[in-house]
Amino acid sequence: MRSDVKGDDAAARALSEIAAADGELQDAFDRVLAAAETLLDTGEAAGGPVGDAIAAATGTIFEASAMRDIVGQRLNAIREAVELLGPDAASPLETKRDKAREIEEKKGDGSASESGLLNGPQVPGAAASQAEVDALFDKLD
Amino acid sequence: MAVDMNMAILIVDDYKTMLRIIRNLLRQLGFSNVDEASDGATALQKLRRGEFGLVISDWNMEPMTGLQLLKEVREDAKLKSTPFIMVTAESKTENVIAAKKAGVNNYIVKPFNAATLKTKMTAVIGDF
Repeated sequence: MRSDVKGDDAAARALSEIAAADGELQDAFDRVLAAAETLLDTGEAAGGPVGDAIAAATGTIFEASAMRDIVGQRLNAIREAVELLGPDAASPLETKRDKAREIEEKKGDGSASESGLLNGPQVPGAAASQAEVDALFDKLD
Repeated sequence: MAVDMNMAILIVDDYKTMLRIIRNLLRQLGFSNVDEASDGATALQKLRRGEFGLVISDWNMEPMTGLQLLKEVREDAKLKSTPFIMVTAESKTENVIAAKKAGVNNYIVKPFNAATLKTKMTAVIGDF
């Protein structure tokens, strides 16, 4: 019982931290993108080499900002795992392993259906590169 | 044939930040006639009401996913030939196969850059 209470507290705290991180991240990205859009307007008005330099820099900001989506999906995956583990967060390692297996099995359910295709971003190194995807895509023609 | 730079492009993503990023990247590529939808169902409504030259869609959305949207588009007599690019973090082999089987024209893995977006758009709609 005591361990459940500690686990509940830990899970609630973790969920609250995840929500806070997600919100703070969104606020920061909104500000960064608004600033980049202002710069883009300024660059287009300026034109010439200065305009080109500003366009290149803002393009880099937009590309880098795309990580917000990936991070958001990773935070969602962590949130789901914490919700599933819940009070077991402070339980013995064996219980956690059982829960982790349950999560994996749930993810694997219906792998032939579309739900099995929605796994979010893979961990770095495990994900296929654009070149690998392109090669597979072309092979399927 | 030259690409109509004024053609309407529909971008679909449930992350408003991604919609904003793709819209800005398209603007930098010279496309300003861009509309947005935050889920597949809304996208389908917009596609049925308007004339779009390209759809750029995320996969992982609710309640209608990007794959379901693609299938609906391909089954609609009016929309079936609309070019469709999937932009997604789902990069597993089975995902690429499923999208290709459903009739996707190209597949971009997130995170991506402007050069990749331009290359894939060129492959689908022609040089611009």
